[in-house]
Amino acid sequence: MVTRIRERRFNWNLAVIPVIFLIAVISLINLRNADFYSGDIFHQKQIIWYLLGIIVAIVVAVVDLKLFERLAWPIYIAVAILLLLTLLVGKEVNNSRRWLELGGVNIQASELLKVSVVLLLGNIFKNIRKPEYHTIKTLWKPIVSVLIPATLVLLEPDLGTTLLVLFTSATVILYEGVRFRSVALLLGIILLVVPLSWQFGIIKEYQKNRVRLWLDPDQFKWDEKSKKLLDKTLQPEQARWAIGAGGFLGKGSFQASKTRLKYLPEMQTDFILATYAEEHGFLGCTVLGTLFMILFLWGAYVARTARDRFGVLVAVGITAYMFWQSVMNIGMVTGMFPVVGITLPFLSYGGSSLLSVMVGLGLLMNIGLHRGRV
Amino acid sequence: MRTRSPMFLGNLMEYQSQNRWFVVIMILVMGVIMGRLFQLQVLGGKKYEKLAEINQVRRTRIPPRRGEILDRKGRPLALNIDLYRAVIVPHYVTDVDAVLQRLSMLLLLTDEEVEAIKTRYEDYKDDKKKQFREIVVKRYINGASCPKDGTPLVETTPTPYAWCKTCGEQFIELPAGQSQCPFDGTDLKPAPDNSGMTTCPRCNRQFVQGHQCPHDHTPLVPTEHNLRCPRCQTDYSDTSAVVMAQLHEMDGVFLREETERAYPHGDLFAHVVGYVNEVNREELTTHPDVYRPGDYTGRRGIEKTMEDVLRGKAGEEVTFRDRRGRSMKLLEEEPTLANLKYDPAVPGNNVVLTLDVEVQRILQDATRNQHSVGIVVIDVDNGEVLGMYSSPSFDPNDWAGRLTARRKKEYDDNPFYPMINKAATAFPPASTFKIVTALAALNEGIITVETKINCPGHYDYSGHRFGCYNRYGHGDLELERALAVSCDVFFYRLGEWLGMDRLEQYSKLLGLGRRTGIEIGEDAGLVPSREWHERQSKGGFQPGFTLSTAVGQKDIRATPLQMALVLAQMVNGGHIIHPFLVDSIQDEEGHVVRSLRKEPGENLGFPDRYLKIIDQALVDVVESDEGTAHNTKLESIRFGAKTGTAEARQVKKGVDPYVARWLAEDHAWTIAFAPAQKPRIAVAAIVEHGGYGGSIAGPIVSKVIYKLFSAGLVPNIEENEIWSPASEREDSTGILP
Repeated sequence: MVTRIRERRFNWNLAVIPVIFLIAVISLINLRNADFYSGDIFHQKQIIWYLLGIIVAIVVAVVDLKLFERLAWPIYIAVAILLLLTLLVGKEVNNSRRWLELGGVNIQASELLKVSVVLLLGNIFKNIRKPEYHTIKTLWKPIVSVLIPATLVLLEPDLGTTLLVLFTSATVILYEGVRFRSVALLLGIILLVVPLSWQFGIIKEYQKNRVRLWLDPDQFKWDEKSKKLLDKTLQPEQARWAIGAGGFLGKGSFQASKTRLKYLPEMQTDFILATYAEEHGFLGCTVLGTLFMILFLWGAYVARTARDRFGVLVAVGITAYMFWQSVMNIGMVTGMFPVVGITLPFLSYGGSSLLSVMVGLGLLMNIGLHRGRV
Repeated sequence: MRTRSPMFLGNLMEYQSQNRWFVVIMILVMGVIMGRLFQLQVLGGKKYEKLAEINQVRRTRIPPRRGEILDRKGRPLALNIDLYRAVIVPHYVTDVDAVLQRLSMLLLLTDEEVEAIKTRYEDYKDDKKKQFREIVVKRYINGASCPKDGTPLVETTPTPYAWCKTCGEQFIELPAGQSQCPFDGTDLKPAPDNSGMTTCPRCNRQFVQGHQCPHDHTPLVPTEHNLRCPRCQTDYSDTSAVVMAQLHEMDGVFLREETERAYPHGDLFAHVVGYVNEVNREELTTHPDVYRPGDYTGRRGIEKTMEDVLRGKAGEEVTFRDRRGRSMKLLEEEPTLANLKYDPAVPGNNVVLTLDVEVQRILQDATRNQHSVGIVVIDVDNGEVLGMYSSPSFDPNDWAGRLTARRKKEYDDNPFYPMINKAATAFPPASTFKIVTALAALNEGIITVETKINCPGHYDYSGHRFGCYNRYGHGDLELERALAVSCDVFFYRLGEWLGMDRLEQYSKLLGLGRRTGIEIGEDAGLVPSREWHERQSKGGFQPGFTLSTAVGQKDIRATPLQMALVLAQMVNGGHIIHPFLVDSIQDEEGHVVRSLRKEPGENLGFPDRYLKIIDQALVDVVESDEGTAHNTKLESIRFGAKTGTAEARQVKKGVDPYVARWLAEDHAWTIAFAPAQKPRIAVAAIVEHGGYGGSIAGPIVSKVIYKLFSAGLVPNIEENEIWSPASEREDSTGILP
């Protein structure tokens, strides 16, 4: 006997769609403004990516979640192989190999990893019995599975994405519940590994320099060899000044400092927030921040209401990935975090980044709508 | 939002607290982020607004301030003038026509100049790199000092000028019929080209009648000058101040500071001080960390030899530029910027010379009637060069970067070689050399004070007849008289007895044949030796050469400086001195950084009595009626001298007959020391192709001596040694108490 209980439930999953739409619109307008300063036409390209992304997201949302669960390992292995290939034969740009050219299409394997690792973690954890707290015994498999591709990414070198993947994975693992002891042990290992990799060259010099610059911003202004002031070292500062110059209300569309923004490196990608912040000020940032927060909270809600462990963990993973990426980017742009090449979801120009996020949204929607019922 | 589906799977309850933590952490972190944004945007808004204006942070090189060259009393002989250069940078120009229009009125640019600037602007403005290049609009815009000689300008009531936009010249309009300069009353001279223009020969201003430019009939534009140089009487405006005040209304226009080197005393110290000009490519490549394009370096004289002292060291400063390219002063700099390394420039040190402006003036004045003279005055005890002048001279201001082709031609065409320092050029010393021969003979014991030699007017030796200038002969003479009358035969004999080798030896001992070590360029002179003749003379060494050398003729060469040195060493008691021009190096405040005085050397070891004999003989040259310099005797001061006439008749093809006549004469020498009883200074002068030593060079030297002492310019004179003017003395023969 089925009692029809008509529940008055606010369907947050549908309510979040206008929020996403709003973010998309803001990001496109912002890109248009950014293009005004730089003279490019990125915003037009991004529209195309958005359209593509929406299609992908819808596809992901309606497909059976079980498919993803089953494909987690194959996808993971494929991504790992791609990462390896990238390291070996990838296109070299700015001293790093991040892109792989396959049949006329540029693939950034590290972007794929972000989602893949979440799916994998979901898969792994789903299939083991959840104890009250996890210990190394139970965690070694997920940890190793994460570290292998993460190292490949680190070797590209791409410190930012590596950290992002690590943070995301850590969030998922912690969400699973870990004993304090284990956390302490893990932290201990990290504390050991980081200085070692600093020392022994796993972390590249320019990456080290970025951290040094963050710690002591005065350090690198002057290049002895070329007898010039390094504009690169002023990049985070210029971005910060742009943000600060926005004030409370912002300067208004097209009213930001053209000459400064024009020469700001990565203006439409990593440092896209600078343009937005200068134009729309603290108020604009609060609006954007609120929209993002709604998105993250929705993600948490999806995680909370998911029916299936896989769904819960994937929801957490996707939310964590979007959250950490946003935090790292904004932190970097505002000087709270050393410069690592991380883009801001939605707002930064970039096809792979946007698609990755769209896939994530699709997954969240999928889990949210079906309650993760596999 | 706390809804729960009825189909709740139990084990998912376990994630509840994690979920809560998750949400809480996300909210907290976002809060921190927003807080940071708040800090940057709301709290730091104003500061970042200002900082955000910074478009460019640039390290610019601060060129060092060149040290000055001063005379012994601290008067500047070479100094720096601050000038300005107006430039435009195409990238920042918003309205080129408006800007050029304004600048042409402010800076008095001709239409042609404006066109040229505009063309270059058009060419540069679209090029990615060139649009940041500076296009020079006008150079040498004066600041507060006269660009010609560095004298501080004084304000005058504005003088109305009229200016032609086509040819760029400036005139003063005069009422019709006025024939006298309104500034100094001098009669005006009409311009030779029939243009109706007149000039004042005294102050060099140009006048017109009517409102048209006499060259091209363009209507003249009125303008004003309100500054004047008290020294050269040139009128200037406070252009730089006016332009500076209007810079903010002219986007793309910048006023750059320039420093020019100026020599306020013009040609008075030219050969010693020298001049500077821009570094060339070679110097830029060999000294890349020292010089930058546009820097100046010494080319001649003290400017060159003391270059390292004068130059200083460039520094670096951090300048912030806004989006219009203007320098910004940040009131509260972000600490990160304030710590940018910054190197102050180190100014060059000042060089203090031993020369004296007043002494130079005396030298210049005494030599003004001759075509080509080199004269030097040194202190006999310590070797200080009190004066060194060469005529004709040149104006180093001409050479320090502003040489026009016309001027250069003037210098090149001058047959009397103004660029050569005659005081340090070697000529045959002629009879002035006889003092060396005399001292050598005495010291070698070849003759004594009383030894008499007969002069019949000539001496036959080694198959040649060597004539005495007095064809009739001097009869019997002893050394003193021989020197007084400068008998050649006497010294031929001495030379014959001494021999070439000993002549060579004594010459070199006294400092001839090598550079004195003075701090500017000088000839080394030449002391011929047997070996030298073997090498250089056709037929090798011949005994007759010794005789010529003994009287300072033929191949032996000495500079006036060297002869002064030789004489000084013979009257200062016989000790070596090293002539020097540079007294010390000082910093900007006048503190001595390092003394560069040269200490006298050891005593040469000549017996005093020999020196005294020669000294007395030289006094006779002046005081005895027969003395070759008796026409130069002074009432008020006793001095000794030796004259000389160097055979120098020259024939040059294709020269002006006036110059040819000049070239036919011999060189006239006179060397002297004063005062006779306790010598303080030695003077040496050569008048190139001047004629007879005594009659031409002698009066110059004696006038110099007189003026130096009467003006009190001789250092270290003690009270009881000071001469007294004839009127104060009873005995008018000038014998001092």
